[in-house]
Amino acid sequence: MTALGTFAQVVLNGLLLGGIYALVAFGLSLIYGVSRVLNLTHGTFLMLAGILASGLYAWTGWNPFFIAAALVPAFFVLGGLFWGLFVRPNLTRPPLEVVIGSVLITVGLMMVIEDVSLFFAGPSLHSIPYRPPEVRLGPVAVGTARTWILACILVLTVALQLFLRRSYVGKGIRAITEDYAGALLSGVDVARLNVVCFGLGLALVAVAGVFYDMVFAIGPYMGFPLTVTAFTVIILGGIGSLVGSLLGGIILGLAETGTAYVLGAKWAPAISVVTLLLILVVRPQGLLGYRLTHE
Amino acid sequence: MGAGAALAALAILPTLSSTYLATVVYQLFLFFIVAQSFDLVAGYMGYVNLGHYVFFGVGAYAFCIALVGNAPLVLAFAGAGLAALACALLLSYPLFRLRGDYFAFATLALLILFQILATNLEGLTGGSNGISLPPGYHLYAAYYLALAVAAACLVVVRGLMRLRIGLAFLGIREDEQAAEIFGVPLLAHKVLGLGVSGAFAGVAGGIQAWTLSYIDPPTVFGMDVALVPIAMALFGGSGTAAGPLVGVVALGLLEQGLWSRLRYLHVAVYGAILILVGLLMPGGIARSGPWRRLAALRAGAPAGSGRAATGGGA
Repeated sequence: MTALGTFAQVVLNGLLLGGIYALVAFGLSLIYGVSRVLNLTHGTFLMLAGILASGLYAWTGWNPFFIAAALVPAFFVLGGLFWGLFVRPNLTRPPLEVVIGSVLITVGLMMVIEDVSLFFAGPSLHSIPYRPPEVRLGPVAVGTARTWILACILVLTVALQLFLRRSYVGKGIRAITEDYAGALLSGVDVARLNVVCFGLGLALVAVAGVFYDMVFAIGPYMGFPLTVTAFTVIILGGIGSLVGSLLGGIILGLAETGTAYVLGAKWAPAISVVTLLLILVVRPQGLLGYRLTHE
Repeated sequence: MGAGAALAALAILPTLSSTYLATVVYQLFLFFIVAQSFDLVAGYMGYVNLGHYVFFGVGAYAFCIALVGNAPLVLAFAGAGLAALACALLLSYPLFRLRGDYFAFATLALLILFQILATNLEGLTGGSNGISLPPGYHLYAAYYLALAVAAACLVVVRGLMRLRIGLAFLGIREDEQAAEIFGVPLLAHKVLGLGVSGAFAGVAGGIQAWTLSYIDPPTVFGMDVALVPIAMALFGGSGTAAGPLVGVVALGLLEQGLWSRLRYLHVAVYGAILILVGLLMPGGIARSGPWRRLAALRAGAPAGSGRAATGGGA
């Protein structure tokens, strides 16, 4: 392959990875914005969705985009249950106990899901080897799985942006994220919006999991590193900002694929942790004005 | 003194019992060192350092690298403690800019970073092949060493908590701004706490590497092993005098029972324990009703542990 071709390939992979990160990160920031709970299980849900999807694909042979659509309602319900069973009971305590309790619960849940997935699916990597029927635009083949995924991510981003800007529920979510007390005083139904955000957050993660499965491969231990990546994306892009998440995700995705290309694949996973630590040292208030050091 | 009697009993235990029991108790010592040193920062200072095991791993690697380089044993153990201490001092600058769940999250992320570093810096750490030490059998020497370090850890933590430093730690936990207004130098105390805590974990890592005579990245930086001592401390009751000890004994013995019956899913069991502690009793056993009544009964005659019993709500 020519140098230009390789470069294009690296960029395309970076864009794809970044788009997937953006979906995961946006789910995390929706959940954080409304509940103020840092969901350390977030990336683990992607791993779960990916393993379920690859199992479903191997079993039924359905189109993976259909599988993604089918996982959306399932993970929406899962998100609601997660909120109701594990997050909500914890929130009536004194502040320090809320922090410790939510850390314990989400880390514990991460360990349970990881170990149970390992038990049922084994330590190997899972993926969806799907090739869509070829579509030609003149002489150029565009109908690869990757281009379809990029298109889906763009459509999802636009749809979410419209939902948050135009719909009543979306306005409520933004209100809580920006000013919790103010939103409460204006009569925003926080409990209901929590269910919506946990549901949406996990649904986004499920879709991202299927996409990840189609482009890369999913193993049982990738959950927490992905949560770290998503968190770094949020710090880069600002909480509750969809466009910021997309930009942050793409920056990180390009940085990771670039690192893998230059230094070797073994250093790519270090990028998000190092970025996170560097931002803490250089600009603890976050890049886009979002304060990290603030409770 | 109950503590002296317990120490004497533990000291003669290996001469009386089977090797199996000595191994089990030795393992509990190591868990205790890590759990108690974790709790100095988490329970008393209010900073839940989920990546505490990083210090254990750094200590284990420093010990092995020193020993393979033909350093004397004593120096290798000192190196384990010092490497972990240095690591704690370096990391406290970025980490203590964070609070609450952010701090917990960033420290947990360190485990990933250190596992990547240990795997990738092959020249230093042997990469994913790990480091093998010359084989040798030193269970009993390790037993007494671990006992001594565990006792020292307990004494240091209790001692610190009797000083002004201890009060400053509690002040930081309860209300950092108020503590600062009262003239507590915040960063100095936090660095001191993390340094002491890291050094103990590092020595524990060195001892573990000595008895295992082999380490690789997952055995000392893996998230499954890293969260076990933390689960123990929190289960027992973080920020109480008895908590880490109670948690280590309770979960350590439970694990002995589980290991023999359950081939798989013991990480899931620890996860479930963390969830239950978080949901039902974030104060741990040492703050539960029955335990308090027991302690009150025992403390009926002498005063003594009054301060421990009122350890506050972490």
